[in-house]
Amino acid sequence: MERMSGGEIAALETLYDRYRAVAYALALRITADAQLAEDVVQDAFLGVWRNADRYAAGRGSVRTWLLSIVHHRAIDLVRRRRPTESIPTEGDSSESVLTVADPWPEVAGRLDRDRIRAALARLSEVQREAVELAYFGGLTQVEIADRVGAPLGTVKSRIRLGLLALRQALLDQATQANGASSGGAA
Amino acid sequence: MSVGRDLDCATIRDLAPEFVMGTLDEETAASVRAHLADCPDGHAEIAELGGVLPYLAESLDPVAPRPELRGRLLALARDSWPRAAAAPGAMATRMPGARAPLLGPWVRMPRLAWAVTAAAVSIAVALGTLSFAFRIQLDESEQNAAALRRALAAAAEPGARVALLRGTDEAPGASGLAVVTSGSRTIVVEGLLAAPVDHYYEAWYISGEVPRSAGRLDLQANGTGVLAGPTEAGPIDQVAVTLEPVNGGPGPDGPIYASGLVETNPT
Repeated sequence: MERMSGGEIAALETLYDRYRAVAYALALRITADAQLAEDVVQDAFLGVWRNADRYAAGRGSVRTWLLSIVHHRAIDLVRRRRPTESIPTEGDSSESVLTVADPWPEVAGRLDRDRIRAALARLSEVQREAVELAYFGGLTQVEIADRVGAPLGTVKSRIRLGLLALRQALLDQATQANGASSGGAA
Repeated sequence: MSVGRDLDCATIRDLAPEFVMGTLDEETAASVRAHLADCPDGHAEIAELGGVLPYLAESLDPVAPRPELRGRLLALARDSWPRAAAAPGAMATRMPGARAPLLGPWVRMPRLAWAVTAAAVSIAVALGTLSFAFRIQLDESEQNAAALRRALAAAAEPGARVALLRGTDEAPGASGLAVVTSGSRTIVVEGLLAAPVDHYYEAWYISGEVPRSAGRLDLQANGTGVLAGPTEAGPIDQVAVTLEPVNGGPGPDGPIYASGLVETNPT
């Protein structure tokens, strides 16, 4: 990030080559449109490039920041396509993204895709549905309640408890991963 | 839902899932951000809920975008970097290839004339029918600006040894000034791109065909580097700037990026 702050294009190349697939997969999952997904990815990396000097390492990994920008930008696009009372305003998503610090050093870097999916599988069907409709669909809680035919309060609980359950499941997976890598005592 | 400003903590906790998901309207999201910026309550729920979201993204199978996206992105990035305009002719973004010979084709410059303006230093060199000018953009570093002014003043001293540095094919936009007086030595170079990972720029004084290091050139973000220190007593015929690997030997290993012949002012 320091190199990108200095305008070193090679640093952007490295960042792009490292994260382009996960960023594009997220954008494509949300937009369901290959061209829009490319636009989202392009905007996200440009946002990181232009705002590299604002990145504070202590407030989250670059990967987390980048994926947050991709997510916000993709959701903005999707919501703008829908008839809605409140249209997201135009702007640089990278500036409005609240950088959330990676809360668990013991989790970061220890989970592969299989373990993450195993953690997701620990959620109840309705919790997982609500979380995915919100995260990948960009639906508000009111919209989710309409979609699934459940009371708003129920949907709010499913999302909150679903995220907290996912958090615990990820911690458990990280503990297992840690045990598998250091144990092997046999 | 659009909620006005001045939200209380209970409302923040209620809005936390939608806030971290990014599904709040902008006005409400701005109100939440404003509350979080000032609230003594740490609102740990924001981090607790938001921290899992990247893992949702990573649960997906990776999908590579079309290769064309990479080129488009890099082109836009180059165009959007404001300081890139300060390095005219700069093109290279990769490590250069084969090593150039240390002693290349030099331009002899027996006469120097320069003018100093308020915002930049323009140095015009006249040499018969050959002339060129380069500008050293004074950056926001007062220290570098002062070093440049000292170098220019020193270049006018009787007996000063002066070299105007010109970019090679590796850095066609680079230019610089090297001055050695009885009391000091200074090298100022502008128009260099940031060194690649594990490389750095180094300046050399060359006598005959024997180089000796003048020191490492640390670049600022705008591509300007200044190297200053006590005088250099030994003979100098040429000054060169090369790009060196961090694990290289004591002598120049990398290609030349700028160079110039030394001329000595009359005493």
